[in-house]
Amino acid sequence: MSRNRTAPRAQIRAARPHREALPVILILAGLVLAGAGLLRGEAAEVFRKAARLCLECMGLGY
Amino acid sequence: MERLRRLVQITAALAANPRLDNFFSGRLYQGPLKQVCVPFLNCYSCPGAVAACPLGSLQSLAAAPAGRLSLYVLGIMLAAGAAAGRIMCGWLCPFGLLQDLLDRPLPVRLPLPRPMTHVKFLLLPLAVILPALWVDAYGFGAPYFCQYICPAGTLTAGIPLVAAGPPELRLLVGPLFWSKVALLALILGAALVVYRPFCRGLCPLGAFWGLLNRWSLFRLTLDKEGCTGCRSCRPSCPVGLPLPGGLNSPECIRCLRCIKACPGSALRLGRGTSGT
Repeated sequence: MSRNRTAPRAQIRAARPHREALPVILILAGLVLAGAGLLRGEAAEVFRKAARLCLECMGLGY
Repeated sequence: MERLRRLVQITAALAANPRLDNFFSGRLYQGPLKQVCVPFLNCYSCPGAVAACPLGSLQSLAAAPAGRLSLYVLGIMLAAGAAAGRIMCGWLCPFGLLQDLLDRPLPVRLPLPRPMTHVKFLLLPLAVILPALWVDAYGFGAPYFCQYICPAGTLTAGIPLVAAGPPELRLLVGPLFWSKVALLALILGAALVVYRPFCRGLCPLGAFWGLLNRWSLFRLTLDKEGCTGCRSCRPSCPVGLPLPGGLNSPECIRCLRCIKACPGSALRLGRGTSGT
């Protein structure tokens, strides 16, 4: 049976709850990943790399 | 809207690169902010930069001998993309701003060949995985995208530091540096006749966030009852999407020109459910 094309927006929203929930889940997953990375000390690793000259980034060397 | 976007772009570029004095002294900022990744392409070897580039950081951590995927960087990228998709490309990225500034009304305007728009999706996994796989005898990889391609690094780090940095750096200038300068010139030259060729063709960050465009919390939505089908939005799209059908395509950089162009206010950026 085809979907009623004139269904009100609230009905469409109710019929596709995953579409509403997915971005929130992805944002939370991102925050959890970032937190886990912080606990693994990755911010310090990023700092060690970013605070020094990166010759590769500049295209220096052979 | 375009003036506001330009203002936000300039503010973001200055906020991420406020140490303009370092361009003359050839030094790098080494304060604690460098452990924070900004959600756009911004080389951390740029003398003005006070924060880290997510793409450079992701590659550098993978390139270490005990290389691993950085959850910290990936999490920041995922959270930012899931919140608003490629809005960082359209409103925050300094290299995007530069290409926007080069986008002048010239007699010749060319579309980006469609196959070119797929290259960034190939570069995304290569940029993330290759530093951990292609290693030397000691287990060290390299941030290959930065090393061989990234024009932002060449423009904001390579050229300024070779010009004003320690004299030893000039001894390291070789074919690799000049090939990167040539690629930068090619990209900036192309930006005169093609809208944002780097963002649309080569940027792995744009590819990552483009994949999230359709699923982001804030996305473009079309009020189908308000849309008259006049297609006024279509010519306003700088990346040539077949609007209103191509809303939230991975190619959309969310410049929001289409919202301004819609006479019926049927397009908006928000937490909608009807985005196509």
